[in-house]
Amino acid sequence: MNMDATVETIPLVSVKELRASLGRDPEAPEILRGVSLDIGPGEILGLVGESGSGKTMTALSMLRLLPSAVEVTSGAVRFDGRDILDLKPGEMQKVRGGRIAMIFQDPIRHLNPVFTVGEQLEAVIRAHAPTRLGDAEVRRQAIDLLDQVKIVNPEARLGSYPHQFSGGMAQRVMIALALAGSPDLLLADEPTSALDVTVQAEILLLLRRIARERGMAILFISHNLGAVWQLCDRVCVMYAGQVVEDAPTDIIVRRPQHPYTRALVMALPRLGQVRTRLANIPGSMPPLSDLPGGCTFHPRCAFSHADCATTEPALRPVNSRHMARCRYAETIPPIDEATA
Amino acid sequence: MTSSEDIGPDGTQPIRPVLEVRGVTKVFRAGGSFGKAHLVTAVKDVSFDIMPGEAFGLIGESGSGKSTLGRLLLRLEQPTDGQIMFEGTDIAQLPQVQLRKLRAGMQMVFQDPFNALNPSMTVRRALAEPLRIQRKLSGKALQTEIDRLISLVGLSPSTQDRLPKEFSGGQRQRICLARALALEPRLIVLDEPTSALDVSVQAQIINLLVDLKQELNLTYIFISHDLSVIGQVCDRIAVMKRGELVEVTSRDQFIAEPATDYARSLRDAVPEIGRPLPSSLAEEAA
Amino acid sequence: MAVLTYALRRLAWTIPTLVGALVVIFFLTQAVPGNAALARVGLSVDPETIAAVKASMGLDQPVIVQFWMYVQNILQGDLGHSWKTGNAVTFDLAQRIPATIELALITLVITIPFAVTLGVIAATWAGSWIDKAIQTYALLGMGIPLFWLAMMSIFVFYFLLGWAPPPSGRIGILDIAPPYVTGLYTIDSLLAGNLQLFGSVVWRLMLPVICLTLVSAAPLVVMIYNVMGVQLRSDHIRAATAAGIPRGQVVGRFALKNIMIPVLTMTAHLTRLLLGGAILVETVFAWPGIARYAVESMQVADLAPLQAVVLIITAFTLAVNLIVDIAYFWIDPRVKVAAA
Repeated sequence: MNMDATVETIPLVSVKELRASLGRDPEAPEILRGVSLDIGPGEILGLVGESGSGKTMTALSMLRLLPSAVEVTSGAVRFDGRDILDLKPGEMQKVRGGRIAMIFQDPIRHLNPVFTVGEQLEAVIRAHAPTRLGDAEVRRQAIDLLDQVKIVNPEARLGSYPHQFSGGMAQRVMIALALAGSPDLLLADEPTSALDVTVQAEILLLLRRIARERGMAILFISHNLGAVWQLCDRVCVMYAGQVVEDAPTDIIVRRPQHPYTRALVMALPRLGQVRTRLANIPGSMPPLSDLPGGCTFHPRCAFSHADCATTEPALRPVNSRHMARCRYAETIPPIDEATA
Repeated sequence: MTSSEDIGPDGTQPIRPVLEVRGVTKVFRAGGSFGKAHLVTAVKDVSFDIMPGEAFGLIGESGSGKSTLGRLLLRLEQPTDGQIMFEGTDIAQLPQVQLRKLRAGMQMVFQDPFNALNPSMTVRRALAEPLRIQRKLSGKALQTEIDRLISLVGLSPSTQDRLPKEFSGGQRQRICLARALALEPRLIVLDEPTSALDVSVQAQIINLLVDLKQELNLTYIFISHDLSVIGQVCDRIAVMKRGELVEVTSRDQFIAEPATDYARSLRDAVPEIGRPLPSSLAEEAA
Repeated sequence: MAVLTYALRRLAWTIPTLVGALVVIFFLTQAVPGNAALARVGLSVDPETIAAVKASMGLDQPVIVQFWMYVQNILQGDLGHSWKTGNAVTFDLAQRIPATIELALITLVITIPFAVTLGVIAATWAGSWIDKAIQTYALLGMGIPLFWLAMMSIFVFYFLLGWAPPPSGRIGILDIAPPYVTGLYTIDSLLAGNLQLFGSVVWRLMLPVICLTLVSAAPLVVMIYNVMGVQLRSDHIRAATAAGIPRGQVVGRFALKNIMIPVLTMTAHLTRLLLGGAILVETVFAWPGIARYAVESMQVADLAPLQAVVLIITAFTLAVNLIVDIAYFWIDPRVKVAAA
């Protein structure tokens, strides 16, 4: 799906037309409706969308961690020449943490409350060690990991329990746990949303640094466009279970070619650019059980045409490295900073 | 700091602040059962004024005490020390009986619209209750007022017999707003009103809040950790850190050049389109 | 050491509780209808003898004085006399407590692992036939009355099939008890090297223990199933799975420790019940434990043994509570912080 004419890089992960429903019943609402996106090796990709857009589900499907109520109905998640959805349990366990790792929102809840940080780190280190490791070696690696995420006094911290950490530190611990298996891809699901703003900035910096140092790719899921702009090379925007736009970050915030993305950027309050009124997106995201026909966004779209209600647009290239799910993408005006 | 003796437009009457906060302190006892309780000072010696018609923003990180201060200002908690003059009356230590009479003048909108509404009450009942009790409305007058309030916040009166669970987050927040407006307050404290909402919905609510403030000449105290939202709504911004008031400036001044280092660090840390991550920050976490 | 200070503090609180218990026990038994003196000597006796008996029993003194005498006696180790058996109560108890403890201990040792295993298996394979089978057992176990099960098992396994021994107590009628070391016949017979006696003792324990286990384990299985289910759906378990920790470790180590507190609570509850003497089991199997002793004394208004048994049960209960509280403290690091 990479349309750059000069360099063809094989994507690290390639999600192809992924569809998932809430249950096996053919009448069940679809929460992923043909999601397609690629993550290149070492790339930091932002996945943006509002609640119900399917961004978390897309990430969970890459690790086969979807909740039991959700069933993948079609599509593939290609990784390392194979389809993740076809892997056997033993192979899947090796992928988790070892090739693809994940960090979550609200880090303290994602750490086991009755085990020390050291014990949890050691379990992950051992799970991915190629050979049996001695206690001293495991401990050394644990301390090293905590050091990499810039936790001061890591040796002492090994004996601490999660509830003794602040939100920011707990997130660093989660990142350390995720790095223990030296993964190629880190799925970060709203890792900074529950944190204070100064801590957010530190975590974003940390993520960028380890990605660059390790050549690791990151899928950064967030509803915060500002954070996405600061961290990510490229952005995919999701709406109602589909990717509606896929473009480099700077282009997406200045010249988006999907009305939803455009409206989202213009609805963002900005400290550096206070306006009298924020641009509004009328209405709200429709329930997945009752989606409008044609283009899912058309009832709320400022640029819709008559046929938008009847014909479903496909995700198509509008430029090199820029895809949009809109039949009139080329006519969408760029965002004029002065009047936004 | 604003002086509380601003001269009015006709040059004669000085405008009284809606709220005068003087030395407000709140100390909590985090108790152990064997008398090993230790004291937590959530709010320490905070003083400021709020003028009528202004949107006053209160920002701070977790543990700053901003939410506690918000509750103190409405006397949902009792301050350990200090005065809170609401339209001239000190409500800090006022007994409940007298407090109740003043309550209508000040209302609160909370962060979580899902929990703030009684799930078994229709919108109509939720709005009728305060109207009946405080404003003593009934019959046709009551219904007219309910319809008016619902429309005021951008919802259709035809939805008033639905239960909260049938509405989206943004719509529920509008209902909470309608309920707060039912008592015709002069002051509304909003505690993270948009934090649980999506960006597009947040924009709608922010626009609504700004419009209502104009129309009804309301005074807001807007508490949030989201500086971009505060910047959009508020005229003045107060920065809190660990219970203390660090700085109070105008919004424009805060954006351009805050006086204190702490306020500056907050402003700089806000993730914004157009502001790249610094090449390095103090990355270490103690 | 934090645990020690906590333990001593808790122990200190036990004393006033014990005193309170003494007061209640004494005054409650005073409320038992019936004239104890009359019960001893019968109705067809002249008033002077009755008065004399009363005096000798100390029943003519004011209640407070009687209470004080009671307390003094206890402190000297004198729990009174059972006029029914003719022995000092302490003597009777010494014979009977080991029987109850042996039954309780063996039941506990079997029930807890049994219930935990079943509960964890059912939760891990929720929805499968294993889960359904275990839940059926749990339902039956909670619905079937213990005494019915006991009687039916005797009927089927002894009377019909002849596999089980006659319900005549801890050892056969012709057997001689092993030399007294702990009072627990299983251990004592092993210590004496008498394997044949050991076999006989175990054989006689089987039915009572099995009945008790099947009934006591059922509510435990349900509770563990529920708590384990919650754990397996929790955020930190999802994060552990995402980190690539093998499933066996995730369930058996990381999830399991989180349910230890509720398991401990129910174990304590069960222990209190069993140490109080499973009255029905002891009656049906003619087991010479303290519960039967209490019932028999109650039937003839023999007060001293009754008071003593209740006191013993109270002491056991307080001991169990103390041990459990210390165990909570030790298991859950968050309790440590709260108490600090």
